[in-house]
Amino acid sequence: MAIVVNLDVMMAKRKISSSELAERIGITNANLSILKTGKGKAIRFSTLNAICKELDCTPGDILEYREE
Amino acid sequence: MKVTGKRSLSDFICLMLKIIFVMGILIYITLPFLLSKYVEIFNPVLNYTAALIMLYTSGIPALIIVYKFIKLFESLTEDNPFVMENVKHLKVVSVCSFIISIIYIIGIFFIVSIFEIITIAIFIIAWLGTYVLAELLKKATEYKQENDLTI
Repeated sequence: MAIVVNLDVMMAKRKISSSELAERIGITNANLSILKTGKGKAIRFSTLNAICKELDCTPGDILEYREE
Repeated sequence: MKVTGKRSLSDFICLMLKIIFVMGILIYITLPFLLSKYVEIFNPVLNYTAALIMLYTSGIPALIIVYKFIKLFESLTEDNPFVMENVKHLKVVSVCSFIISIIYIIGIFFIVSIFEIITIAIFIIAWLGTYVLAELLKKATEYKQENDLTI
């Protein structure tokens, strides 16, 4: 997969911890960790929506397409 | 009554299977004695040696089948049936059913009875049935993994 999740970069910029973000967007810490480490297979629009809302960014800031 | 989970139907079936498994081992150990008694009382014309060899060879896969079903129902009791291990268990059951049907097909040359034919039919159906079910479970497990990794 050439899609890279840059969630940790954005979280560092906003200075927010994993557990706090997980709580705010309403998913478990374990699931957020799956997302951050790139093990996830898909992301729901509702989750993406919540993340963008909390981090005040666009999907492009979190997801990136990198040619392999 | 609950179907899966603790104190449920699958838990009960699991217990029954464990009892059957233990009894099966006891019967397997005492087979020569039991069979000679059976021949003496019920069926004097039965080919004792052929029957003994057949039961001894088909006994092992039969016990394996029961053991694998115990494992399968244990995973149902734990409410986690969609794992690749269960696919393997079902595949083993399928192979064992195939082996038993082959043993009985060979056995029909030595012992001719209607029960032989019924057993062959049942185990051929079990062989194909469990094989298809294993594939079904594999697909379901893949879908579950996909779903679990969708955040």
